[in-house]
Amino acid sequence: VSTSALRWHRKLKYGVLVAIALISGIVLSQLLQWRPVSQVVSLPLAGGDTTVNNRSSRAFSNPAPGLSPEELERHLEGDANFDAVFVTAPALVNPGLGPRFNNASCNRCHLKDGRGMPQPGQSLVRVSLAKGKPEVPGGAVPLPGIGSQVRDQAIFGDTPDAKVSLTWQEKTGQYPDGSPYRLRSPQIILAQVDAHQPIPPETLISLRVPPPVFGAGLLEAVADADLLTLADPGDRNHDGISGKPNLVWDAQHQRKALGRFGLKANTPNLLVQTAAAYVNDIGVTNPLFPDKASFPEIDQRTLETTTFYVQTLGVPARTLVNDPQVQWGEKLFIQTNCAACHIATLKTADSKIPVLANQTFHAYTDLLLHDMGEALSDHRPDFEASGSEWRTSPLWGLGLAQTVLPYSGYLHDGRARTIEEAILWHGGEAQRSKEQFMALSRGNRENLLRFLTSL
Amino acid sequence: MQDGQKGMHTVEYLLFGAENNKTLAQFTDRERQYLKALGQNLKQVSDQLLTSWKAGVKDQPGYRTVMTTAGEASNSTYPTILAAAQEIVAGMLDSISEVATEKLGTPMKEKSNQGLESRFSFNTLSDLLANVTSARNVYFGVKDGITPSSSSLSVYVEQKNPSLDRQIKTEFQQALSALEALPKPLEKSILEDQYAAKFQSAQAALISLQQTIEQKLVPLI
Repeated sequence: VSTSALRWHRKLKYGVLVAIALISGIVLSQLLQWRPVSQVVSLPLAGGDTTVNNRSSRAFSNPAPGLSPEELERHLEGDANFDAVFVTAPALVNPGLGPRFNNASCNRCHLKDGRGMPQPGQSLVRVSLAKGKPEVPGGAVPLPGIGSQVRDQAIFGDTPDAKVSLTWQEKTGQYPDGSPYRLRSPQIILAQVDAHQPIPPETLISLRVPPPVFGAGLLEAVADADLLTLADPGDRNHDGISGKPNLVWDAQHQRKALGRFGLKANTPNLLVQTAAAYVNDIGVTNPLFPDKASFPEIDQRTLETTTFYVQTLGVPARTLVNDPQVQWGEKLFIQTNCAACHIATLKTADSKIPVLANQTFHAYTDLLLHDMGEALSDHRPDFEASGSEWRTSPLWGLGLAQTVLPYSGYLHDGRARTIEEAILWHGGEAQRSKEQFMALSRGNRENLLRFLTSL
Repeated sequence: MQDGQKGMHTVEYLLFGAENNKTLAQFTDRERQYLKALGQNLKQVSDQLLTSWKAGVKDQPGYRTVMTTAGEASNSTYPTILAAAQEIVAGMLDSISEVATEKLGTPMKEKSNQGLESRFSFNTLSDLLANVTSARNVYFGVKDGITPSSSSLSVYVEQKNPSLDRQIKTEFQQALSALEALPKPLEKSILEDQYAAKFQSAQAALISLQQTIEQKLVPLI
């Protein structure tokens, strides 16, 4: 029974294949008149040598080209780990779920290695207190008995930390040209479940949707020095844009380190990210976060291969690069100064994984924190990040978000239903860029959006 | 309720027992209630899938419309026909590689029947055959059978590279024959050393098919 859900997932895929067979003829009859892509465009290498030419719903799930046979085998082993559904111990297959948890496997939140939906079970609520003793040096102050995230599910016989419910508030606005728009934002309600586990009314609360995981190995391999060069915390160049590194706790090396993963860059590297997700999100203890009373529920090899899987996922190539609308949109993206934070190009240093070493790639991020304004603030500090500061999100694969997961949202809590809405939420350091976007003609706004969907 | 406590294979377990050995007398009233609830849930999920395919949900068009309007200006899911073609090939490839690497490969590596697809009902082999057959149906653009439709991937490949089309057809047949040659039930034969060579050749045939598609068909798209 333990892996039945995973199998059911496969059955669904089988059913879908049968139906695809029936309608594929329509698409393929058009393809018969289509020239191979190599004759039409030269694909820019979004992920350097790790770029894959795939714009399908599986675009985020491909191994990076150029892995050695041994590396590919390791990647595939990690892929199986990423899919593994944990169950209540004792069990023959994947024991160790919970006792409290958010979900039972990696890929049930990072759907198809992409994002998750803003709904209980896939998104995560981070919590902390404004005052008290932090969990780790410089970190958030945990809620007694709960920690710094709400595990909203529990195995039989245990109780969740709290019950999470979401309601959405809508507001309206309009562009200078009179075009109306609607924006929605979530209200998060935490209800006490365990009689002995009250939720303090002063709890700081932040909703997060799971981000895509592909390309993370490249981001990890950028030298600290390169990111620090991009930083301008005091805005010495007076362009209204600062860029601040987060300084976080590295549980692996037991020291402070530059943060680069997580929506507030609160995690220093992918091994720590993976180990923390196992123990916090799934409730699976591991060598980095053991339960002192018992053996870790996964071993070092599992932890490392799962990390390796994430490090070695390929990056989808851009599409429509010769489309004039896309090319014009790219100019507007630069003109409106979006590219000041979403910088197009980064380079990796050396890496233990050869295919990641010395790569030039295009993630459209500086991995730094920026003040995004009051409307996006969660009022919950995380290491050096204030409530309104968020890490610049990479934009690669942006146009594929809803190909991989229809109905998925954008921004840290998935509030934006479209890329356009995501832009309209920008404030703080990005206020001026947003205003410039809003002042564009409708046609030019569409050009800029079409550029973003080509990523 | 946890996903792992629902779905088709939970139903399978309750119906067939751990080793395809459950008798009618062993069914408790509680299990009957559970099965009924699971059946209703399964129907609900399947209906939702069908609706999202045909009519669409959450103000979105049905997936079949999304797929067949690939390349049109309003289609942000597949802004090019190429993307939809990649979807079709990637789906076919995923089905084949999953049988080779996970559904057959992992139990072979572990010498265990625990991870076999439908081990409670001893029905795994027919599942695997259906996976590969449906991948072939995608290649031929048909619901069933081995006659390619005029607008199939097979015809497209034949135009570009006739010998590759022949090779893919042959390798599909070889993979299916090698699977059919596995002694039933798989749940028992996988544990016996005398059949190891047959399992290895079935896996090899699948990997060969997968590599041909990856290395020769994908570059044509």
